[in-house]
Amino acid sequence: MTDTKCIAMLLAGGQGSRLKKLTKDNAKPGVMFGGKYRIIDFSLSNCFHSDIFTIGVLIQYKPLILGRYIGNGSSWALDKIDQGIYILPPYADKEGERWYRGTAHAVYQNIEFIDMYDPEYVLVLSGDHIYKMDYSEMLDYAEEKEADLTVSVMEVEWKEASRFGIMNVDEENKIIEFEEKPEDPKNNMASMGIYIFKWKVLRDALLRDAEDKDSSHDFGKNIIPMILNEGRNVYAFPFEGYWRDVGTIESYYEANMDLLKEREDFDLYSKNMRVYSNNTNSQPHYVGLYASINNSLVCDGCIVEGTVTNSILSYDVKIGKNAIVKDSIIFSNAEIEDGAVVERTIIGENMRIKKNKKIGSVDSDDITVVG
Amino acid sequence: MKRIAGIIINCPNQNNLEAMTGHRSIHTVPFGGKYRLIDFPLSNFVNSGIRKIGVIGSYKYRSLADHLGSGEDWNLSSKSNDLSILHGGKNKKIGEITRISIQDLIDNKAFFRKIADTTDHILLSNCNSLSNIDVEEIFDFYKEKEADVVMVYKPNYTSDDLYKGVAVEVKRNGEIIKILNNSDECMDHFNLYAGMMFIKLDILENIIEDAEESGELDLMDVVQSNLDRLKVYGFEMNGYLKIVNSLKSYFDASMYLLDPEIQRELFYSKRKIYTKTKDNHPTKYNDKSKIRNSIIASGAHINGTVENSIIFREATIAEGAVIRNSVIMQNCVIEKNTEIINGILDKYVRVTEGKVLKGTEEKPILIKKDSVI
Repeated sequence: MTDTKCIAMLLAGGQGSRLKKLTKDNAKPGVMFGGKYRIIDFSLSNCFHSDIFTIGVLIQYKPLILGRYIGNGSSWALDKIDQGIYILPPYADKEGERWYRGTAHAVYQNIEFIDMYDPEYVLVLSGDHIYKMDYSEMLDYAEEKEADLTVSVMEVEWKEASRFGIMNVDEENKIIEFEEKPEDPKNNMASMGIYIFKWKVLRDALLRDAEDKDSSHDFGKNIIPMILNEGRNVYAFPFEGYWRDVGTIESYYEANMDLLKEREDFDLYSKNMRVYSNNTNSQPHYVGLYASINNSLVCDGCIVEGTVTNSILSYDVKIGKNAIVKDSIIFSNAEIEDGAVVERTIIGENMRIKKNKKIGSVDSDDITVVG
Repeated sequence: MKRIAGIIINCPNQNNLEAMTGHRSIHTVPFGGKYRLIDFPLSNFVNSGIRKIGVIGSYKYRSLADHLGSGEDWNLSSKSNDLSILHGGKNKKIGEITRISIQDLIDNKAFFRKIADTTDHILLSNCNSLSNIDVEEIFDFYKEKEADVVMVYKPNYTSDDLYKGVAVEVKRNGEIIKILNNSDECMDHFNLYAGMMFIKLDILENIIEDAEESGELDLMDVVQSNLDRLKVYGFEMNGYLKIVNSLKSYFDASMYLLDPEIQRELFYSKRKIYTKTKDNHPTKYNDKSKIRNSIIASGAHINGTVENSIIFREATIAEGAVIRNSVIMQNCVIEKNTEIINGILDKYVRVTEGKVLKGTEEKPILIKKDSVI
């Protein structure tokens, strides 16, 4: 097989139930984001820009949209000879059917796949984070520290720290303690769910974890504590920049709205580490005679005849005459008919909001989701 | 499998878009926000299932090769060798206008050899005919008439800018009885040749062979002088057609795109117009943008006023800039407090703060690629 130093395993099988209707028919990494993107684009584009060209995508929950979207990986320039994106669903063998029972179990079930490449390192990623990151810097760091495991961490607000897995480190950034969602955090360095393992170490840990009947086969809960407790070299890699977990409707909505702000730490618009996606062939968008668009993102194929403010329109969205869309996210191929008002709402793919109907309110605390 | 191969021809001396064709062949003149002219005939081919396509280039190859790549974006496969970029543009300068250069066909015998086993019919198309047409319908007509040649025409055409088009006279049964050379004889209500022709491969090969002896230059002339020997029919098209062969016709065609009917016909059909895809971000409007009746491609930043205009990918319109009735191509930067009216700005033009550019509808102002104004 090709000589590959590091391959990535991308965890994309979770349901993401906190995204409610948005994941009714779609896995979380396949949910649209920022108009033209899907959440998984960010991790996949990062891989390409980090020269990581072999990626196993672990799927399980509602994989149709995600699988079709990924295709052969050419959208992220990942259709290479002997390398590229490989979709890895759970499978049956002589011992029966085996669903992925946890994040670590999903990787365990694909040891064969990783062994085909026999990499020195394995990068474990989540498919539900919004960020730009050059993993090759983290890999260099892992090599320099001769780390068995490197965990990417970032500073979070102290009051938020108890929502995360917190890493307590020494002055060399060596992790001495890991606390999952501590009530009284000693530190505000949170794990971002991005890990680089030495494959030998991970392989061994996965085999042992699989034998443990009490384990929930989860990286955060089981594998990382196991490796730490064995006194191995575990380092924190401090990341500075924009990173968001978009696991809830609120965090998903806020991260979308962040794109409309001028931000120093996250520039979707720069050509540096451009975010790739599966581009459609829609025509450029058309803005009608009586339309107005302010502080918004608009994708190809849209026809805008009404008023759009502080909103994100994905592909092929129609906004009728005198319709008002404010503080909202409209997914592809949805139609807001004439005179309808949509405020602080997420409208799912292919939805239609009838004439003069009113949905959501700018004054509402909650974000309305139609899907 | 249809036994058709498509060839997109190149007629450099027939089409003059001034500075826009200075560094690129007419195929790749940018159009409609994200397209190039060649996307229209190429998509028409692909949408009818034609899978062997040759594109005759010119000596200005770079932009054509860059645009087409291996043809993936048009659903053509590099594995089965669907798309070939061919030699072209070696015409001798003779003052006369070649409409379909036989020399370009002679120079590409290798292509004819490649398609020989799978092809009985050739579809020749100009690269500058804007239409979204069902080629299968034309092919059915061609088969039904057992024709040697079928020329597609747009009936009852009245043009304000036609000066190098071809017109045909058609009998009631569809037979073509006359091919007219130029516009002198036919300014009003004529049948405009739409730049698309089916021809039997063996007949075309004979014509090419004879021409090598006789030095005949123009396939159209050969068809014209053999109207009595060949079965030549006209297929009447009813949809939208615009031939882009001058700066004025380019500007008009761009402005016509703002007509929702024409948009619908060209773009909202089941037959998609394909083009090279790009990983642009969605277009970003800020809170000062004022926009109406315009077509905007992805990756643009709109912060000023835009009316009745076509804005290409990754163009930036700063606050206080006013764009009216204009075509602003890819990567243009229009700085603050500028005014552009009836302008065509080629790629990578920068208009610096405070500048005013005004053309007229009759004579739009054209700014060359990479200029700084």
